[in-house]
Amino acid sequence: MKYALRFCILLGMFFASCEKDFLQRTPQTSITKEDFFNTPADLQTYTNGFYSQLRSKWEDLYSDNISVYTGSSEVDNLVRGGITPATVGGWNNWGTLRSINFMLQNTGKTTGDPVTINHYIGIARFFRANFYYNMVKRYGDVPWYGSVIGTSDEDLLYKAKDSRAVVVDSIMNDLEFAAANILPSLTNNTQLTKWAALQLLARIALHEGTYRKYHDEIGLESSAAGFLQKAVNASQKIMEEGGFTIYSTGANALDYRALFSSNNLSANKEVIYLEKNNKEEGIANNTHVVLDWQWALSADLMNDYLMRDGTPFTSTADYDKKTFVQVFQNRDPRLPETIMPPGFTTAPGNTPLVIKPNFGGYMQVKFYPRDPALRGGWVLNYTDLPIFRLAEVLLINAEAKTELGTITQADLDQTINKLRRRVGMPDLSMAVANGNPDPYQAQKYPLVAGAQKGLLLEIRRERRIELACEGFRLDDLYRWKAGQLLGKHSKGMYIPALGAYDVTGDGEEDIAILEQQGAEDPINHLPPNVKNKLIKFYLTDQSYYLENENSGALLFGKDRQQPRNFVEPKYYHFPIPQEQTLLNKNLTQPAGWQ
Amino acid sequence: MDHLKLRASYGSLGNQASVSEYAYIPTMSNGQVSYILGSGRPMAVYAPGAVSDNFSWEKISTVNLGVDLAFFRNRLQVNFDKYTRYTNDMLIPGKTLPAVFGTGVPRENSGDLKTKGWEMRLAWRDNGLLAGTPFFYNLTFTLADNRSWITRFDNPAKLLSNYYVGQEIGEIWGAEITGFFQNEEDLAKHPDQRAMGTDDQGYQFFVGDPKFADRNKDGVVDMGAKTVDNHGDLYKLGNSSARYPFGIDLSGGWKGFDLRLFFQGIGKRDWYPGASNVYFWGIFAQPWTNVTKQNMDYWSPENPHAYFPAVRAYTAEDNMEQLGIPNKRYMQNAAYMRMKNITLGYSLPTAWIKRLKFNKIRFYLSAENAFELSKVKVKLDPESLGSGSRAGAAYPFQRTYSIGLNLNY
Repeated sequence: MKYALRFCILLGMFFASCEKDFLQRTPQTSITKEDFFNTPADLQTYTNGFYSQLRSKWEDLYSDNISVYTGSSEVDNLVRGGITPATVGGWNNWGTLRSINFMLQNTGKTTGDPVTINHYIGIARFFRANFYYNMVKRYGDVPWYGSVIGTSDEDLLYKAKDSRAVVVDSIMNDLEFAAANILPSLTNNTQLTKWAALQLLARIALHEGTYRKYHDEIGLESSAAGFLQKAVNASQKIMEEGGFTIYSTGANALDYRALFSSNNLSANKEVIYLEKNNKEEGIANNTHVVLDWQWALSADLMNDYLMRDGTPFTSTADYDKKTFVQVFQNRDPRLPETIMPPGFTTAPGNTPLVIKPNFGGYMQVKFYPRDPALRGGWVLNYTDLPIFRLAEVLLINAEAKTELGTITQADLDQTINKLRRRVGMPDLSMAVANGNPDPYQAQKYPLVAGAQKGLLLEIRRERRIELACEGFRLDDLYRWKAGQLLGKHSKGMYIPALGAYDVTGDGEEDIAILEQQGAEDPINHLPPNVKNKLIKFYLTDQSYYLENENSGALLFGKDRQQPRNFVEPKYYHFPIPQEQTLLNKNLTQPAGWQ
Repeated sequence: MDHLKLRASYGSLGNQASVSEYAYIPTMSNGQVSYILGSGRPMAVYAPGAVSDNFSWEKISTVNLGVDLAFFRNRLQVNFDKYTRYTNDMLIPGKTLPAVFGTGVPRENSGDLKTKGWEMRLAWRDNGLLAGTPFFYNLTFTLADNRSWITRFDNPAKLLSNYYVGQEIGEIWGAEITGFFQNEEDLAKHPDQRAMGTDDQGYQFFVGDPKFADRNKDGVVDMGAKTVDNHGDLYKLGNSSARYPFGIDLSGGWKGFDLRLFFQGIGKRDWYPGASNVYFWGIFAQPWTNVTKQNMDYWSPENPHAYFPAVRAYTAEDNMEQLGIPNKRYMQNAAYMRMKNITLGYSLPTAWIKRLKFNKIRFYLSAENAFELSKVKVKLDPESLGSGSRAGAAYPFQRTYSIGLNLNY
């Protein structure tokens, strides 16, 4: 009996099998996709990781707004002939797309409120559109991937590029979904809202519309108007329904400054999407480097600011022979908010900063944290930074309507003139602008023609001024097919002759530009107390030189040593790294780079 | 001959050291974001990498042939082994996929490796009388070598950036530097070598910069397609594997004195200071680092035959750009010999210590890692040189000196 019992137990153990997959255990301390994407909260957590893909921009590296840059910039290297498929970087951020597609592929199983689920799907598609449009800007045609690629998906891994038209249609689908489904109120302005989605839609539609209109070499002119209309519609919707306003307290230039150098943008009704910085959270920016670190701004940008009365600076007599102090007189108040004016101090009571000629003299002051309490140094500045603001929406609206030819004076009053009035500049009049197009601007943009020529030139000027140093300029030159402006040598301030100059606006000379050490004839007439305080610069430095050897605009040694040349239309695209076209024989280089 | 033994063996082992428990399950990483969303910094979960669901452990098979010999009444012993090791189904990332894949290529049983090597040991030991007093001495010399080749890996384009069939492990591809541009004319008549430049200098070259050789005489200095079949002016110029590791152990005793010397080292090794290795490159890597001692010998019109080119920041910052391209000019001979141990002892004569009831009293002086012979231009420990930007940043072997007393009873 005892044995029989034992035998039964043994037999029972023998036949009682484990459940299927009993030995198949998933890790308890890591997240797998089976555990995730089940609730809207999971989607929120996942989309939190996307926000690094679109942060603020606070410089125009690289573009014709820059005088000279001592760091390394791809576009700078491109126009100086340094970029080839063998040396170029890029084509390496496909992980961004993969992470977005990974979510979109797994949201089928998410359960919960469909409105909230679609809100987060909208956020993922917003970032996918942003990723892809950056690729289109860089390469034109690119392969479109709507799903995560497996190691054995040969047809995807080795596919050819899809045409720009196909890819942009997919981008617009993503953006239209995002604008329709991202909720206006679930989030605050450090996160994406419906309005941010509409703004990206408007921005991309304007870019694509103008790109197709001016780049006849890609043969898509007939579809340009459709994109321009989308830009109008999206921007109009933000203006009418978003509840945003141009920040204006009547303080003119100070209101403009507050957008780039304060710490309370969360409450600012002009700001649609924002990068919040905060000492308590330890989140900071590096914006103090805008002033005199590796670059300065160009005379070309300075020239485009109007006189205070609304007339072009470049129409005044000898505008190109004015000294540093003179160019700041009676100008658009946004000029000294962008380029450091004479007498600028980094803190109240400090002695004024003295410019040096190495970068040309026009130092960037926009985005420089004015309040010493917010300015702590390397990645220790606590100013908030706008990512999307209403001013751009207004500029998109005006430009798209002007390109379409539907613009009216009332439209201008709702857009450009709101920006003008904030800083106390006179209104832009359609009749005046079109009646007498500025010849200086016209020579800059020879492709601008037609009944709205004068107005379009003024809108381009306004865009350059209002959005200076916010990272738009290069894209604008590219979409307007104005790459030739990148091929020109840039200039700094004007030096009438070797000698000493006042650059702080107090009437007393501060710096001297001399031929070489010891060649002090040009400054010997100065009283000793002035002469002894001079900061002397010598042309033997080689990093800069004067246009007419001993006088003229400051030019840069880099342009002389490594001359620029913008190759049309080749340089509107970057090449794909050589190894990629070797790995995938179906992948071809953009036009001109084969 | 006193002894002869022939040995032959074959063994096969699985190696799962490189397999982690959940390597077949894609897991999602998470962390707090570095920006403010809403009111604070929330958590985020990120996409998993790609994993393969089809892999197994590596299989290592070794064939070994050996001989042990002894001569002259066992005074000379010789051991010699020759082996071939096959590492099959190596668990490594598979073939290079186009970048659109978007993540790292998963590890699979992607390659096979063949290693051929040998090991030798010679030992001599003897004793006798010196000036009427007995003495003894031992000499042991060991030497070994091995080389490995890839015998299977899917790289049809033979990209140099990944393994390819026939590749010897450790091989270094690079370019040839023939000197520096001494003047503008020199610069102007040299073939276009912008492909060897660095983005930080706009891919441009100036007087005082290194001059790269147009080895294939096609009128342009470049890297071709960076493949085995089209490598432009690149060539195989060395191997970073440590070859001929050796040891020399000498010991002897006479009149109560005993002495041991142990040397150890590597007979042959090439080491190219990696891009951004600030210990070697100093300000050529990054301008804000310390100026190194060897940096002072840089090119200028007054010093045209300097060791380093004209000082230009970031020219040694990036791999395969300008000074980051391996070349024989800056290739270091990383062979070395280290005085691993030296001990001098003296034992008091047994007659003296018997009264003290000790068996042995021995005083000694000993030094560990007393010195190294190395030709590396910068003072890094030659035994811990690695690759990459912080190669040599290991904690060095310490020099240790000791004085001791042994009492046995």
